[in-house]
Amino acid sequence: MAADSKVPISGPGRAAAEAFRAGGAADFLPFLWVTGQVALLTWVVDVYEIEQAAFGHVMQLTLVGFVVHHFLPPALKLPFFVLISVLALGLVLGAVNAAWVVAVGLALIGACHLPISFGKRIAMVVTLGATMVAFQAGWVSSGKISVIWPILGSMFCFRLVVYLYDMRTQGGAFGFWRSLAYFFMSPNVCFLLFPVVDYKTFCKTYYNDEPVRVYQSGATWISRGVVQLVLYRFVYQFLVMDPSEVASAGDLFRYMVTTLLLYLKVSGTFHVIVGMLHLFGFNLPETHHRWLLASSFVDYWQRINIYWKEFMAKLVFYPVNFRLSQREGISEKGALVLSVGISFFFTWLLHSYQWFWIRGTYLLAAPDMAFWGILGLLLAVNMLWQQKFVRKRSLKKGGGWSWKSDLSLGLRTVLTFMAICVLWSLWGAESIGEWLAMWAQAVRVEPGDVGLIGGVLLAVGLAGAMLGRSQREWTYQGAAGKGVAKAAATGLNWRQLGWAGAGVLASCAVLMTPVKTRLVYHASPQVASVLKSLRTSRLNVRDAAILEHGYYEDLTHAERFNPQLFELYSKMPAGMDVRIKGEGIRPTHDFRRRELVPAQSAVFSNGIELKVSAHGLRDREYDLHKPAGTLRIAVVGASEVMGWGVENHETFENLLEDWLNTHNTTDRYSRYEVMNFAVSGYGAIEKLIVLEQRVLDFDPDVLFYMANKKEYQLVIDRIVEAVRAGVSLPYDFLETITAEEGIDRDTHKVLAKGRLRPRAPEMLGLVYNRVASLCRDRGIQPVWVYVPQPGAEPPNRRDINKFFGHAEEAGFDILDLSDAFAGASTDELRMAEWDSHPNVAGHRALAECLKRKLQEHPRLSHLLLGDGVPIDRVGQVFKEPSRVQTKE
Amino acid sequence: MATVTEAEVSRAIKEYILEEFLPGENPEELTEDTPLVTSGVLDSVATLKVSMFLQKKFGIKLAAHETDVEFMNTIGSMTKLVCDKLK
Repeated sequence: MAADSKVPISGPGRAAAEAFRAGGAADFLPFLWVTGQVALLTWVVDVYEIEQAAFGHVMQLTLVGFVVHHFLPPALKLPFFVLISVLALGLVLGAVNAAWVVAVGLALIGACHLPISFGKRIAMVVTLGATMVAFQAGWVSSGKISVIWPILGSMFCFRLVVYLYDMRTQGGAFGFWRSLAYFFMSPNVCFLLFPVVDYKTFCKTYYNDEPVRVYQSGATWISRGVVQLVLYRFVYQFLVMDPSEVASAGDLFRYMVTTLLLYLKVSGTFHVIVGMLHLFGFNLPETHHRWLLASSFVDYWQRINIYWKEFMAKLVFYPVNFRLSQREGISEKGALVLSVGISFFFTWLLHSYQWFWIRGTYLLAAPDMAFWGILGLLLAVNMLWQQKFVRKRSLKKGGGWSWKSDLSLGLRTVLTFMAICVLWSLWGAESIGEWLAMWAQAVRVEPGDVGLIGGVLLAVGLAGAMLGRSQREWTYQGAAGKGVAKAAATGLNWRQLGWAGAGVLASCAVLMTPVKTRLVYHASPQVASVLKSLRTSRLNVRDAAILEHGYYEDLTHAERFNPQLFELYSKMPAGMDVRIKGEGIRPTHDFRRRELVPAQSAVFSNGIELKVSAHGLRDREYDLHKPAGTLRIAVVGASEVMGWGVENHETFENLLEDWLNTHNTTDRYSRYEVMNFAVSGYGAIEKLIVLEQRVLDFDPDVLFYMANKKEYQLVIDRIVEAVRAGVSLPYDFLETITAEEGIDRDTHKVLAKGRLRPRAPEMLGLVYNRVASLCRDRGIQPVWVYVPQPGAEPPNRRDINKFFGHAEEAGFDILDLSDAFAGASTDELRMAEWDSHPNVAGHRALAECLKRKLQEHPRLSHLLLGDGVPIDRVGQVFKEPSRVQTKE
Repeated sequence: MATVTEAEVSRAIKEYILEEFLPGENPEELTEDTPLVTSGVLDSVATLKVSMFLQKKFGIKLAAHETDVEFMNTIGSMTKLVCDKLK
């Protein structure tokens, strides 16, 4: 490999860089102006926890590196960028893993440059790749370094292909540092989904403009990316709907548009990545260009993930088209259609290939194939149309346009937007059946639907028409070459830098508005709450449910179209798919679906053992018959109560029991027993079944009904699952409601859930009433306890407040543990980023909160902890109407 | 094919582009150095058409990577590509 240190910077950038080093304050000030912006953006990234803490650290490293790099002589710039990239690897992966990434990467790059024939080099690279496949697929164990394969896959799976292609066609300058810079680009370690940067463009655009102007566009793009990522959070947390929530045409429209807007995550991320590369002189073109405002399918393909489009054109479309065209008997149009078809086939295949490298699994889903197939077909038809009716081109910049052409452009933008929304909703659907079920709901038109649909489309049309002029002038190649033209035409333009920088500062100022200032908070606490919630990365209610559902069932590809879950699963080490294995848990083939097996054990994915007692509880051993003088508390709940991933003695109910017994200063009760009947995945109906079938046999004095944020959702999900599986419902009122809603085995789950959703409050209320009345009849005090999950609580408590209402109406005493985790960071309290169950510290926090709330509760503290009620009268007292303590 | 001069190649390419993609434009404005790909006059399909034209008209064989902006952005760069192939 040739040394390239002599020519790392060429063109106007070199002259400018040299002039800068010789210059005085006039040159320094523009650099300082951009550095200030980058520092501010680093702060914003930290405050908003963009891409978790690791990226914040890489961004800080980038800021320092940017300043040092700028003052280095040209020959040292590329080696320094490589150094920063390797440091970023070490910062995120640790020294050992980073060393492995570099070593394997060097082997791959080295294989491309071996002094043997090109064919043999390809064979060598393929052999190395196949070895990596074996590690990534888990066929061969790589032990503790398994974390490196997704990173290496992300760095090399496409770039290596481009690199070899350009080597074969002599498309770029090759050199040691240049190659390392290309493959190990510093942001890659934080972003597995990385734009396919073209090697030739990477070389060609390196410092091809005034350095400070390159840096300024980097700052602008990072700020654009950050704004898009915050907008994405808003859409994701507050606007996205579950397919089962679609009940009208307006809902379907909202579902489709918000599904498309989830792409802001990718668009924002790519802007940030390329912006960061600009800070080191790589003046790469845009990765996305106003992709919501495409006016045709061809236009859409040229705007969204532009690097991918260029990659496919270079590696598949042009070579296939040339091969077909040069053969006899294939017409120009035939060759065009076939090459588009083959390009889209490879697009689908390579997405699956990319998926494998990031996730280690294969992606084969019908909606995925349908999406790429339909999009390819539409694009081919669109291209043929454009060939037949040649679009108007002009050499005059922006000339020759009229209101008619703008109106036409606006209309075409609206139609393309709608078509893309429909296609994306198909791509995002779990199955084609689910997608069709949503459309079946759209026959209903609610008041306001027309306004919503019309308003959004009008806005898209106007934006398309107004921004049309600049759209028409934009091209990827133009963007890639713009630096040279600009630099040749002008020197540094303060006004230009000033405006661009002001835009960055304005974005930062808006994002950093303190949410508790008088201005925001007093105007609307709700707005302040929304703004605050945007500052953390969390799963929305729907994805938290999918993730938790995945704890128990193999939800293959649950994250297929879901950037948030995709990111989360990407970080999950192999084998940590959060499931319980062993004899201690078994399916029941009735409504409960599963139960613990007496005197058996199982193992959580983190290796902790789940020991089941002789009576089938995840708890210590207790006698069936309550010993004299003992106050017995039965606990029903789900996984967080069962103690997912912690030892038996570490569950918060056992910590409570220990505390009650060690602090029992009265002689009313000789002992407290807190018995854990919780089973993972149980909702309200299963808890009622457990109460009736198991708890009552143990003659408890108190029932702790442990609720969580999924009270409505689990009622709906379980009924739908049971009906569709032909399992009979356990209560007549459930049979009546499902019959009234016309739900049977053949009803699609999206339709069934949609119909049951409005009845969820009624059903939950009936279950709560039954639990409370059953307890009162047996002299058991029913206590409803709200148990939060660390970092997984919904930003608004609308539904949770309704649960409190149902519990109050049913006559429960209420304990709200919502503030159990206040003051501690989420990561200290949960099992892992992909598992929101409380860890040991989380259980301790819950136990502390429960103790405090019991002590603060006038009635319960008196009955359970005080000295006013003799043990033989506890049941009698509990039969008296409870004085409900309302939550704060 | 009979020997062609660089000027003839350039003229043929210019006539084709004017007729196929820029009907009605003033020929004076389309020079050897007018950017065509980077300005959006030639998109990927149009670039393909131009490359097919060059192959048929001048009896040369282009490779897929020669549709790149480096070769196709101006009439001058296309002329150079064709003349290099004809040598």
